[in-house]
Amino acid sequence: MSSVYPTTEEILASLSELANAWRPLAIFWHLYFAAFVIALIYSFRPSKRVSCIILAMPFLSVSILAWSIPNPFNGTIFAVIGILLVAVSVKLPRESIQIAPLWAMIPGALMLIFGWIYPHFLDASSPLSFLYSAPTGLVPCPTLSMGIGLALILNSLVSRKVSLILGISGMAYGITGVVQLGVSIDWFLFLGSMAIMLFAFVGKQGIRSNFMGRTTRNHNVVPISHTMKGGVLFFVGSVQFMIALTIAEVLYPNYNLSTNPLSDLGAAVFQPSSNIFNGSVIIFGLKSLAYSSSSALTSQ
Amino acid sequence: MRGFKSKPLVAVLLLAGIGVAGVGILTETMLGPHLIFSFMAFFFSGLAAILSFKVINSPFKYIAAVLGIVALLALVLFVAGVDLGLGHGGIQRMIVYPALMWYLDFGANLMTRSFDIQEGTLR
Repeated sequence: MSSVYPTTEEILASLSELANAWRPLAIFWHLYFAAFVIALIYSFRPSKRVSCIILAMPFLSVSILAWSIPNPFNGTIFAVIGILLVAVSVKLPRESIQIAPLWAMIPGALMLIFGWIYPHFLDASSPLSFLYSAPTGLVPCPTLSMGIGLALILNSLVSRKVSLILGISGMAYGITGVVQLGVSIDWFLFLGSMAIMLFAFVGKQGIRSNFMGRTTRNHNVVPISHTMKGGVLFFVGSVQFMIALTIAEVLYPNYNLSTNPLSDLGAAVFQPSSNIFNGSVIIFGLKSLAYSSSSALTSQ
Repeated sequence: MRGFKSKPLVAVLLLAGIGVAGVGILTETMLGPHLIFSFMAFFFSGLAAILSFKVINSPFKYIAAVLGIVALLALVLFVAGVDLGLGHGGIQRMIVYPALMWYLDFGANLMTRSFDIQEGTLR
């Protein structure tokens, strides 16, 4: 008797099928994002409402394609993401978008590039094909990467809801990609999702003060302290490491807490334990590094 | 917009961060560098917990110091090959868990308290 739930192989095969069968649509989404980014470079600043709707469209595209496979799970989730973004856009102010400070633009740009060239699922004859027809707007992870990247560049539209919608979705699909589907590059999506989640978790002050404590043109707010940001980094870093450690131990065959050292989890023999453990350790280390190095640089 | 006034703590946290990230980048398959980074991560995390005694207020500073001492003692036993019946993996966890608990609680502490730059203490 066959299961009603698709196997990992079936999910991967259906995503590959989408990525290859709908290349013209992928090219369209590349042009769509390229046009928006070029417009931003040339100082075009649409309203937050319009920008949020622009962000929502690729998610609805993923939903429609997912229903066509059919993959009701992705279809439903991405329909919900798209509809939520459109619903949030209605309540956003009509004022122009603000570009994030450089430190937030860097992870945003990296996420955007990652989604743009997402090197998976496409049967490319040449690596150059990924530059214009990677499956953005077709399958979940690259679309989330592009959306999160663009949102980071746009200072998360100064909306905690936008940060939460994209951050939670990205973390869930990042973990699923790594753990269930064995797509280790999805750690990058998870990392970017955590970056945008910080926008949500540091509170309204953080959102309104460009997350760097700088007062924006439209809001007069109290700065978020460097100390609080450090606290968030240490706290989130520890929590994600504990969760990842537990998952890695569970997935490692015959893992014994007494006889196996932690480093065994990171050896590349047993996947996905290795990807989960190493990715999580690197994230934890970088968070600690980020805070302590910025403290060192700013202390006199 | 300053961080800690305590430069030793910042320096030790920096070294611990390098150690932790290094453990993930250079895995067990590259044993030599992996061991060096592991030692850095364990030692400097434990040391940071003890040094935080000067930066945070009671009662948490006492808990932080105890966690740091436990982690460093376990590190000494781990290096000496004494596992106290817990096994190689078990004694290693006696280093990692206290350090991890300290990171978690230190993060929570930083999030919920304001910071006096002049005094270099949390209040």
